Amino acid sequence: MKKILLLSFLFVTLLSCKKDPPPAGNVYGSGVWIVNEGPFMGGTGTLSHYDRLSKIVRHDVFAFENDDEPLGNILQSITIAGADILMVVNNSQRVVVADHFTMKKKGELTGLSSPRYAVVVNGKAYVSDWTSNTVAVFSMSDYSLIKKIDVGSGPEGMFVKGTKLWVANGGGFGIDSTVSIIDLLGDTLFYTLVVDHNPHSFAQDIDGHLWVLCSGYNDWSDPANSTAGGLWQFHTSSLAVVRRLMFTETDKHPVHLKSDAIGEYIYWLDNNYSASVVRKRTLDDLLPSSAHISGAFYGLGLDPLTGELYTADPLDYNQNGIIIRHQTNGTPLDTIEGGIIPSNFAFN
Amino acid sequence: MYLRPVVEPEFSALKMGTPCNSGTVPAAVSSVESPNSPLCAKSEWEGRRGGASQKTCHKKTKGRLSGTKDHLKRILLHITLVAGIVFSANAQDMTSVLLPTVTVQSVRDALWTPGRTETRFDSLLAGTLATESVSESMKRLATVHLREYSPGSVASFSTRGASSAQNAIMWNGYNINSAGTGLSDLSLLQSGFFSMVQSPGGAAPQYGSGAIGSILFLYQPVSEKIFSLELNQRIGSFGQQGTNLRAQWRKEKLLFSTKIGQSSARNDFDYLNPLNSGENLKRTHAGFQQAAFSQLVAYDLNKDHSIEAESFFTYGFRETPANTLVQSPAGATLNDRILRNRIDYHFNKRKSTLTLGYAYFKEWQEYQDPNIIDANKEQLRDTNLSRSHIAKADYTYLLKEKWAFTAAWQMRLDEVSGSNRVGKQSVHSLSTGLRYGCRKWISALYLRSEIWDGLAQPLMPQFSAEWHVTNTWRISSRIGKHFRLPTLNDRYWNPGGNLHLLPENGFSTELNVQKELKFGKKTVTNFQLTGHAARADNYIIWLPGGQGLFSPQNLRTVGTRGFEFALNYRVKISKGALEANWETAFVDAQVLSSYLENDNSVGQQLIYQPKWKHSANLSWKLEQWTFRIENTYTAALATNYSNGTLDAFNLTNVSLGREINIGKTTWRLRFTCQNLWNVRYSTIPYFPMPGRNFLITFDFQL
Repeated sequence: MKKILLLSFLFVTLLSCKKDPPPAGNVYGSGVWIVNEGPFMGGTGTLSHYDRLSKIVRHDVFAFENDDEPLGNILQSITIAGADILMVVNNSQRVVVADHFTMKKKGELTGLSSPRYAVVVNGKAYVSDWTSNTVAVFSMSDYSLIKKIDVGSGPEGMFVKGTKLWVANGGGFGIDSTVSIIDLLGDTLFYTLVVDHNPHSFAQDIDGHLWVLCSGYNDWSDPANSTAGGLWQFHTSSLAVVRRLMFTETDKHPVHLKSDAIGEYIYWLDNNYSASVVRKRTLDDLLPSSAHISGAFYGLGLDPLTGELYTADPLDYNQNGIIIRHQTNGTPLDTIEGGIIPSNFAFN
Repeated sequence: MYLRPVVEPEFSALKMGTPCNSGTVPAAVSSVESPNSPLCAKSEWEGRRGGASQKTCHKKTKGRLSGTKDHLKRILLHITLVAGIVFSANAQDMTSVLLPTVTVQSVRDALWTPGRTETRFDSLLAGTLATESVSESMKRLATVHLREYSPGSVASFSTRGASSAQNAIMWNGYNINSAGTGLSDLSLLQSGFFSMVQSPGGAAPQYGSGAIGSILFLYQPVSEKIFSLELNQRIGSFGQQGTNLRAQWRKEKLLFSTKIGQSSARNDFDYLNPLNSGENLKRTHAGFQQAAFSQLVAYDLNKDHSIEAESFFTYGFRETPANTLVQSPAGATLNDRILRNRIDYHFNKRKSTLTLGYAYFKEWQEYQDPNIIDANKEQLRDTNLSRSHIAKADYTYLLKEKWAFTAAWQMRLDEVSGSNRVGKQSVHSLSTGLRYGCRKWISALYLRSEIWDGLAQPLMPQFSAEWHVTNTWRISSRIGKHFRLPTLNDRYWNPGGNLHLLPENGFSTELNVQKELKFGKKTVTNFQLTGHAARADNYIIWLPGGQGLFSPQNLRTVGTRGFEFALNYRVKISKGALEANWETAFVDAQVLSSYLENDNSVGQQLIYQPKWKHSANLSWKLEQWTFRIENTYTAALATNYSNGTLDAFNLTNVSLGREINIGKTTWRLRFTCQNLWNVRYSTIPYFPMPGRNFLITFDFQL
């Protein structure tokens, strides 16, 4: 019987691991926010914070400051609005709102199907919702849903210009070729522009014109059906087309249009994966013939304070990616460690 | 082949070994039973495990079997002796009687890799196993780490650091890994359909592409009886239920074996909401349904010739669960229809055997997701089909009583078509082996040459040896090269397939020591220790490529090393018996180098590969009652190469069973509590597995 008891004891011996307690919290003031999508299937997105002066990177700051709460699956983008930071979590169908100085969670916006980007105007948050083909409007005072505005399919990037909200209808898994313009005074659809296939993002130039970057359509099952993207420049009052530039490569689908602080140059990635950075002077009539920075980048940021470019390389997508900082002319400065699949940036 | 001996006396002598200093063939082979012999085990419980030492088994079964059965006994003895120790009866049930695993293939498998370690599942008789999937059975082993989204979902596993596609699944001598993905979804296979033997370690020269981490043998189970009928039924928490029915009839030259199985589960178990700690939610969209049917016909044409044909159909419908960070229900589903046919002809003479075989596999899979709408406003619906034709010929010849020679040829044609891929490939292989065996020493050299789509691949050698130091000590070793051809998905997936991929290649080696200790007549202890090492170059990884598409690349070199320890303790006690097993597996599988710039994975453990896994079980039989407790501990593991981890977990199952014999029938009822301590765990982050749950199994045997 002793043998049995001894063996039984061995079998029920349990091992467990406890995590070390987190160190004291931090206060997040100015700096660069790095959006890390996180693993595609089994993981959570994270937010990293880079302090320009100390050059210290703090990873997973939201979980760190909020009792290890995960942000959710696929952190798509963030928006800083006053004291708030809005973290748009695509697959988790929520936008988490936190105080951007302390990163303490304040609330969340829910009722979304596949949120992509958010902007805050006049105490209201506008969230592009990819699969519902709407822009959802929330009150930032109590985070309640006010209404949903129907737009085109797969709404992506947005830009506030005066009392209008421009929405790029990216097509979702299919095709759309429109930009919806919402009147922010009445939160109603004001006008719909037709552009190239699958508009993605906006940037404003030195003349106040708005550029729309279209990715083109990528047909995964039959590449022969894929289309090239385009770059459109609009007069924002008359909605007249100022310039239309057409890409030629159907196997590349440019994304992440940015402009520098004064709007003299616009930048974008020439593809949605493994991309190089392209720079264009807004007054030029032609598309550049070569890349500004060659690489295999997935994300792009432009620091309005320093003019530095931030590119994100996710390496093998199963480890922390690297962020390369470049001077405006493209010369590399240094590298920063990002999180898993760094893809977007915000600057404060 | 199931009706009469497949191994003639000369082969018998070869397998069990003649004296090294004598040329005589041992007499009356069939009168000597190994403690490992299932038939011996049937009568003498302590004989169920142990080394290859030759002991006389005073069996009650002697004389009960005759004719064909005597041959079966002999074959079983030979298989066991050659295969070496059959350890780790994790999946075995003390109360169950072992039945023979008899195929020509099993003899051949054991013959050419002396000293190979094996774990044997006797699923036919342990009713708990019969209705569960092969993946569920496999995860009891310390050497296997299973990764699954929920019970019954698509499951992948790793052994000795090798991924699913780097493990061979041999169904009656045919590798059934999919032509498209290169792996077999073990959650679609029900354990009751097979006699399973898992053998860690590579053997690509013998089994071809992908036999790197381990080989799982799925043999045709055969009953000794003229007519046998077995039924297993399970019902449990979360809508778990399953049935496995096996019927076999044999008469003179003919044998019919029919197997039918089905299982399903809702899997609506509770889990903690990771986005709102403390909130319990019900898992949704994680259910599955699975069904299978198999029909075997075997016929002895005459004394030397026999033929067998089998058709095996599997159906699966599975909901694809969402990451629990996703707050809205998932809608994706996966449909599978898999048909596997084989026909084998066997010729057995006194000094030679020949097997000619042909198999045809057809796999149809459809993935649907109503949440994804394409440009034509239609739901995503990807359908893919793969077909494989395999023809083979195996010839073995006994040169002298200590020497044997084998030669084998195989041709495999694979093709895939459907929404995402169109492509085909051919693989022709020639292999040959030479074996020397006596009672103290057995060794074998095996060589393989392959032509892959017209390209000759480097010669693959393997050398293995086994030394019986004493009657209770055995040392064995193996070293060989291995390789894995890119799958058709790797080459032809649209978009992203890479036609320029090179095969993964490398080597593996192992050293194994086994010892049996006896304490009086009632207590037996066996232990074994295996050290292993391997290296794989041109490791294939899918990464986004230059055109914005995920594409596979030969990117890394991976090195693995580790050890496996197994201890078995058996003691007879008043009116019953006690058995305990302990297994530990340690795997250090690191990325050694990478072509990727700034690759942080170099020097790190492979993701989803735990360094440690322990498994243990204790069975206590008291008259017709059986109590069993089993425990597995899986160490924390990395989910990415930057500190992403999954916590370690320790799972305990307990069961209490009662067996009743009425006439020629046997009835068993068992109550099982799984995950006794209600451990919250997952094998993929944010895909929770069930907490404490209950299972009732019922078995009937005629």
